[in-house]
Amino acid sequence: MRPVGQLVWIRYAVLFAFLAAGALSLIWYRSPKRGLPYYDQFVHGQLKGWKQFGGSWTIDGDTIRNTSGERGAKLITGSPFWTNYEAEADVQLLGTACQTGSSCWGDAGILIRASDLDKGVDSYRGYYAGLRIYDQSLVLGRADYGWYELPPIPMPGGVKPNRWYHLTISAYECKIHASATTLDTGETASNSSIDPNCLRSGKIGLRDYLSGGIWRRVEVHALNRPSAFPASPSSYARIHGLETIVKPSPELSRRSSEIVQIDSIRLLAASRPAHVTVRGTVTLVTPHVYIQDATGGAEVGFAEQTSLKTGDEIEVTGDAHRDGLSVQIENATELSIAGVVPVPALSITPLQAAIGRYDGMFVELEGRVDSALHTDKSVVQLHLSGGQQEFSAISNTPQTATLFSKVEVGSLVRLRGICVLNSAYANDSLPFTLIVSSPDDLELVSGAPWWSGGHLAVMALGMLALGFLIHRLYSHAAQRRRLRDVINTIPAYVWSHLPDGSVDFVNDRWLEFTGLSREGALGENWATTIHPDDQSRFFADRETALSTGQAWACEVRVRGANGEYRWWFARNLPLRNRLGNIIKWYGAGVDIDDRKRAEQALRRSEAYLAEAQRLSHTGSWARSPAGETLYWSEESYRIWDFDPRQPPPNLHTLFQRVHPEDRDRVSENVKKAARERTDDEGDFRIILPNGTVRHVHAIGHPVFSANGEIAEFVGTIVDVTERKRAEKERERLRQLEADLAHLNRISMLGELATSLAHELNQPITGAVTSARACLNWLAHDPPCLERARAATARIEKDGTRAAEIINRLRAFYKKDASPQREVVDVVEIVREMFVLLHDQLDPQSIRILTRFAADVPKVMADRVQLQQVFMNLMLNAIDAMKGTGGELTIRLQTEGDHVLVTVSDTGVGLSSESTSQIFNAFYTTKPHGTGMGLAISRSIIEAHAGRLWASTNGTRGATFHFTLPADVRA
Amino acid sequence: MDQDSPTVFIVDDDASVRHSIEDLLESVGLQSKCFASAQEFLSSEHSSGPSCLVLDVRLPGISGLDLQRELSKAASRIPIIFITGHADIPMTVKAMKSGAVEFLTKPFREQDLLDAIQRSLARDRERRDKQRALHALEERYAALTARERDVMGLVVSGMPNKQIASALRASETTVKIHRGHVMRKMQAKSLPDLVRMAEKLELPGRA
Repeated sequence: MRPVGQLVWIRYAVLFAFLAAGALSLIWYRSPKRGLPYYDQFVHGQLKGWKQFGGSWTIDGDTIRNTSGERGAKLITGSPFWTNYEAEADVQLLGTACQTGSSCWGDAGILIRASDLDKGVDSYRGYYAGLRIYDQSLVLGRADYGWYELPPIPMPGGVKPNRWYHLTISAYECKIHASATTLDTGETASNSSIDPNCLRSGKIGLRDYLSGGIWRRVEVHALNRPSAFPASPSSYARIHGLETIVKPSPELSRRSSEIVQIDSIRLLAASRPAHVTVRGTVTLVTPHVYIQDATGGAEVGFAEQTSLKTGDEIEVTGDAHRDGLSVQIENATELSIAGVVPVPALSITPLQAAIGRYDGMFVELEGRVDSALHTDKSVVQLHLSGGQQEFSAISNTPQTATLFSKVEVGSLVRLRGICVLNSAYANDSLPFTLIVSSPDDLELVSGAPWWSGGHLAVMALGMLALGFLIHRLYSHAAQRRRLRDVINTIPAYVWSHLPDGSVDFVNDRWLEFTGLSREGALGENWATTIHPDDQSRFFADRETALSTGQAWACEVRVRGANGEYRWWFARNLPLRNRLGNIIKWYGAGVDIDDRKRAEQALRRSEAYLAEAQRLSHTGSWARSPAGETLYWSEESYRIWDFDPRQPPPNLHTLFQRVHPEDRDRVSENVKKAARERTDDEGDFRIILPNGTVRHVHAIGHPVFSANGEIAEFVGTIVDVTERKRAEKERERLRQLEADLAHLNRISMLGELATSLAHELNQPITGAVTSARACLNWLAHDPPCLERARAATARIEKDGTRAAEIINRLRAFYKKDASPQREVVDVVEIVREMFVLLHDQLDPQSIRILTRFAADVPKVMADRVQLQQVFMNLMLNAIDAMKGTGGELTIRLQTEGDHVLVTVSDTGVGLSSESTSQIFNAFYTTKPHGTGMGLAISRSIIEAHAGRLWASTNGTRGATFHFTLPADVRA
Repeated sequence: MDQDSPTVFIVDDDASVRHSIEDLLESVGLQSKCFASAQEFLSSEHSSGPSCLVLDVRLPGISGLDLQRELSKAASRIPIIFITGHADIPMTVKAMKSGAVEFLTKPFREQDLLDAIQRSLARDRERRDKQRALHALEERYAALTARERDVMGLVVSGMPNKQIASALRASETTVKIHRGHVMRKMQAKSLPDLVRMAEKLELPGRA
């Protein structure tokens, strides 16, 4: 995935470029050789690359000059990383500090390895070589916010203003070397030193002190070998000790006999006060007057009010006593001498000040501010430490106090003031206090060092920020890489497209699946992977989404590399910028093919199931042991007539719909099944709200959980109303059939009426006639008992015969609904039929033929019904041969496991169309026929699992065949 | 067989009916003969005495009605009493029209049967007597000569002798002689008697 906005990418790229550039430039910057060799001819008229620290520097032609006669003006250039190099230039002193007379003050020269630069005479670290007028010497030393000088080497030919000298100063490792050459005369002087704790590197600079100077042709060369240095270490002077440059006050040198030096008062007034006279310069006025001479300083308490100011040179006479290291002169009288020569501050270190030697003197110290204390609004006390020494400084004027209060803790300051060891000011932990009277006497050397708290904090924050930024960048890159990996690894298909719809990214998975190449997928080609049937829907949805800006999802089939389509679920979301415009669309798809197919199969099977339930009027249900219904299928709702959109009703509601008469039974069954943990099955009626009654057959089955408890009941409920109705119908139909069969028999009986009548008539006639005869015989005189007896016997016989006939026929015409199956011999039935029908047969001149096969098995049949069938067929045969006579043939044979009976006649016959028609109900050719005979016969035979059919014998009549299953047990 | 003793012929295929009727008739002193079928009856010897026929309609082979027809074709004048277990009006009508004496449905009242038999026998005797008488008459007539027959014919037509003589071209005396012979041979007591005889003989008359 490409980053979200190209702008951001550019931003980061630029930042990175900057950082890289920065790193590179840093490396280049720190190179000790950078910029070397360096030449400056000052020809451009600008001070390019030079930094001023005091003085007023101007370019004049090809020279640079400082015309202010201040103390310690510096002009600096170069790289702080220059390490081993040589700096040289032509130097001329201006003599600005020359006074009337021959005394000139000042020096001018070159600095090397300068750092920590600030305005001030010794406000820097570095090595300085210069030419000094005062003692006509070549000076070499080290400034370290203090000045450590090697013994000066006298310059041959002296040092005079307005004279060009060529000065060289070089440093290689810790060897420092300086030399000067008078350009006119070529006289040289040089000095070398080894500084054990040397400064390692630093810039170069031009410096003068009081005299002003002109420089030209400044050159700096890197030194790779200490070739110019004297080889032997013994020729190096060592910088050690402390040499101070003190400008003695000329006036003071005149009166040395009466005046004591303040320093000596310590000895003089060791045990008791001494009356002394000292001459010095007033260094402080408030809170106390301090004067200082060349040797020291003292506090003076005047007898009378004086109006002195700082810088006045006075002579003080009073009683001096010593208090510790401090000297105090009391009851002093003063004698003004002159002068407004400001006493220069003695530049000392706090350690030196702590010794006490400079008590009362105007000194210059450097220290780092540790804390500030506001005692009252006009006095601020600073606690400082310089080197290892802590001290305090007090402001004694409001301006100074204001300045003091502005000083930042941790900053390095240079202070000038009176060093007072008097414990009135200093407490026990701080040996001395510096009383600073003028705001000018406080100089900020440098802000809080980089290791001070505030700076550290800022730096830490900066580093943190930088680190954070770098981390962000790095992690961003790593994140991006991770993100890309994620996008290409997750089991999903990811893509993005532009608002116009063209795809600009697809992840590796997508390519893997579709088999397209990355070029093939971008743009519009990807559309070919969508299944043709889904395309119209898919693209319509996409169009809508693109135009409305709405997120959209769809299920769609996508073609894989193997050509097969799989279902995906794809979701697309728009990304908007701050203005709300869509800048890109992102989409992801997951393969839901298996799920979809399973879904489809499930839906299909559900549909089948629902259909099956619907067709079979079976509803399924599940309920909890507590009676809460967990599930009802759609059909259940229909059966019970509840709204399928509502949750299923509970057991109590259901019971309301159970028929009141069945309620107890059903309730009892349910409870019993639950108690005994068995299945429950039963029929009952339900009444719907609209009054409809339904018969249902319900089955319930308990489902056990792992611990053997009943988890739920599941079951079915079947609407058997139809079935019950069908059963009732069937029952009614059966009844009707039976009735009809009975009617048929009855109607057949009608046909048989004559036969029946005649059949019965015979025995009855016989019986009655015999009875008459008997009576007649008995009426004879004498009665003929023999004949009477014979007659009576005949009566009995005839009566029995009649009864038999009636019995036989009783079964026939009895209205019996249910058939009685018994083992029946068909032959016997046929013979019975002949008996029944014989007086139909003979008068009609019908011959009977029987062809009974041997071993025809018996059948399991209803005797009466079978007789009915035979009756039907034989009467029909007789009817067909009415008037013409003919033959009635009955055959019996075995056909496999069936008995085949055929009844043939030689009568009018059947047309081939009517061989099946005749079995239709109400089909009859007889004027008074019911047409039911054959239909009923067929239904009887079929009820016996046999078949009945007719065939034509050509012109000579018809044949009816039927089969009956043989009784296998017989 | 005594040619004057009556005989009842019973034709019924049902044995018990036959036997019971036979016994009944015997109990009243009537003789009977049983046949199971019309065929048997036809092939049997006819009785010379008065007889009647008790006949069932439903018989194997030739039915009762057919037998009646056969008999009438055969010019048998035996009176028939039909007994049947099944009767319908057409059958009855046909039977009666064909000259049956009685048509009884089983079971019948025996008295009805006996009465019918008596009537039948009486009729049959009567007929037989008549037959015999006629036969005798016919014999006497056959004994007449041709001339005598002619004369007889004319005499019974009421023609006076003179006219007969002229008709026959004989003399009146001859005619009278013939007439006398006829009267004597024919055993007629009077002229009306002779006329009656002639009628019985169904001589072709001119009147």
